[in-house]
Parts: sequence; C-alpha cells; structure tokens
Amino acid sequence: MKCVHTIAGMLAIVGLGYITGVGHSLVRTMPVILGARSMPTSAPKADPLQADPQTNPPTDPEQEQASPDANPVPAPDTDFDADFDARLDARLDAPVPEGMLTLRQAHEMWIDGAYFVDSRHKYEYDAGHISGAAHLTAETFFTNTGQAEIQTIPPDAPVVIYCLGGDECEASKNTLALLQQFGYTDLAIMGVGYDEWAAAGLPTDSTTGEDSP
Amino acid sequence: MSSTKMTPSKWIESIMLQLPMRVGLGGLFAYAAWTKINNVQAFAFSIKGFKIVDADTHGHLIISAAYTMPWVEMIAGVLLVLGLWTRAATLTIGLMLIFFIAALLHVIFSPEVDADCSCFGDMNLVCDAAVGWCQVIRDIVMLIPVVYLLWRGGGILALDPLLDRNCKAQRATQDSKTGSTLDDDGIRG
Repeated sequence: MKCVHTIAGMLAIVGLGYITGVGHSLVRTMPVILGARSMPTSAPKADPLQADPQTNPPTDPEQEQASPDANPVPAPDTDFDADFDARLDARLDAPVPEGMLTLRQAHEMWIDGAYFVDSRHKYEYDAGHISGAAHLTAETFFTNTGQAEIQTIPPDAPVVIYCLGGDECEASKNTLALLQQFGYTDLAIMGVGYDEWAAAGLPTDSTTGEDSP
Repeated sequence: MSSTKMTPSKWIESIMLQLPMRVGLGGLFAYAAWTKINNVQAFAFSIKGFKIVDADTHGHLIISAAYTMPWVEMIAGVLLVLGLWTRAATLTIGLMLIFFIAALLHVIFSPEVDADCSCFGDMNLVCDAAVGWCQVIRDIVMLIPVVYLLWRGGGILALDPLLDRNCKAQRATQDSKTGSTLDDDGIRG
C-alpha cells in the first residue's frame, strides 16, 4: 500500500513539474532556441595575403613543411627566421571547419577593430583571453554582467566568437545563436581555439594581470 | 508498518541522519533547479550537448525537458527538505539521479560527444564542468541517502508524521461514528 502511495506521489510530482514547466514557458517572453537561424556559411573576408597567388603561403601546414622550397615568399636572412616564419604561417593558415575563420583571418579582423567574444568558461577566460575580448556564454548571457557586455557591442559591428576550437565548438555556436537572437548580423566563428592564438604569439590579456607584450 | 512512537533512538536517527540527508539532498536539488530555472536557455543548450536525441529532429523534446526537469527537481527538493511526501520525493530524485548517471555514461563512452555537465548551472560542485567519472561517482554517492530515506522515511522531524497523525485522528473520529475500524495501512476491517 505504501509502495503504491510512493509511486503515485512520484507521478504527481512529475506531473506538477510538467504543468509548472508549461506555465513557465508561457510566461517566458524570449523563446528557447537550440541553434543559430543560419550559420555563417559564406566565405570569410578575402585575405589580402592570399589574393595574390605569387605571395600566397600554402594553407596546408604538412604541405608547407614537406616542400619549403615551393614557398615563393622571399627567403629570410637566416634558417632560424625561415623556420620560424614557416611555423607561424602554418599556424595562421591552419585548416578550419567550413565557414569558420582561420587564425590569420581572425587576426586581421582583430586589427581592423572587430569585437571578439570569448565563449569558454569563466575560469578559462580569467586565465587568458584574446586582448579586448568580452566574455559571453549561454550561462552568462542573461545575467547583469552578460547584458552589460552586450551593451558594449553595436548590433551591426563585426563580431568574432571563439572557444576551444575544432569541429565541435558548441559553445561558440550557442553564443552565435544567442547573439543572432539579439539582432547581431555580422557574426563569425574563429575555427581554431584560444590556445592556438596564444601559441602564435598574438595579443592576449588575462584578468590575473599577466598580459602578453 | 512502522510505529510512529517517539522513542529516543528515533529522535537520534532523525536528528543525526534523516534530517541532514533530507535537507542536504533536497537543498542541493532545489539549488540546482534554481540555477536552471533562472537560465532555461543555457540548460537547453546543455541537454543538446549531451546528444541523447538529435536536436534537429527532436528539438521539441529537448525544450520540453529544459522546462520540465528543473521544476520537477525544485518540487521534489522542496518537499524533501520539508519532509512532506518524503518517499515520493526521494523516489523522484533517485530516478532522476539514475537517469543522470545513464546520460553521463553515454557521454563518457561516446568519444564524439564532448559535453559540459551544467548540473549546477555555472557552478562546479566537487567536479569540473566537463563530463567525466567524477560526476558519475558524485551521483552514485547521492544515491546513498536516497536509498536510506526510501527505506526509513523522513523521520520524526519531517511533516509526514504530523499529517499521518491528523489523518489517523480524522479516521478514528469517523470510525467511532460508523463503528468500523482501519488497520495501520488504512484498510477497513
């Protein structure tokens, strides 16, 4: 008898939770979304360095390492410099998932003044982030901090979102979807992660006070 | 049927075991629910990240779960803290924990799935955000008070015994008028 009461009570709790959840969905003004209306599938902005095939560095790092002589870039002064430049080019032009920005394209947008949004966890952001990047994730988006960050970004401004990189960069896609919901149109995802940016020696900040030169 | 007499051992058990377990487990679930209710959108993304169902074809299930699960957690958690419907609330939480463990194992054994737990919103309780064995062990540890409370009930300090006494008093009054009696399980004899 007690067992039946327990199961009946459990079903009542689940039912009550469902009804309350339905009520919650009716009260909530902004609909819950699961993905972006449209992912940025168009080719990213033309890379000036890649526009001229004579000066275009190879996009495949393996190919570049396998045949360094094929690189038409004028030979540097020393072997060390040549090796360094080759490795840097390989990082900057490392292949990324379709529709996402390479490190070189993201860096050029950073130079042009695009807004950068870090969609990793707060502790990762605090440890180090792209210089000037705002911290916006699905968790912080609707908080006062998140809304204050959004206020600093004009809706028509170019925005580059990044996380840990790779095909499954769900955090960036989620942030992109939320920004789309808020009317942002010029959005792009950096195909490589923050670690690649920092490893290439590009400008970074950290909230612990250790900034890159 | 257990007796509701307030013996010293029952007081000790209630104060030392049942009350801390109820308040701890119920409070934890109510807090976890609060973080999710405050940000249903982030919780929906978290459920999607587990890839239990395909978001493109069954997105409505994900959104439905994102609205329902936190409220079930909240109601069960509050009832457990109060000691009202203790066994039903404990059973609800126990089944949810078993479901969570299954979902965590699904992520752990699927190399292509890389999800964050988001069990307590943006706060990491004991474990990191990324799904791993730590969360499975944490949920298994939480099953210990669940089993104990299902077995022993909410204890003297819960609201259940108070309601039972009121119900029994009402039944006794009714029976004295009709002349029939009820046993402890409420079966008319």
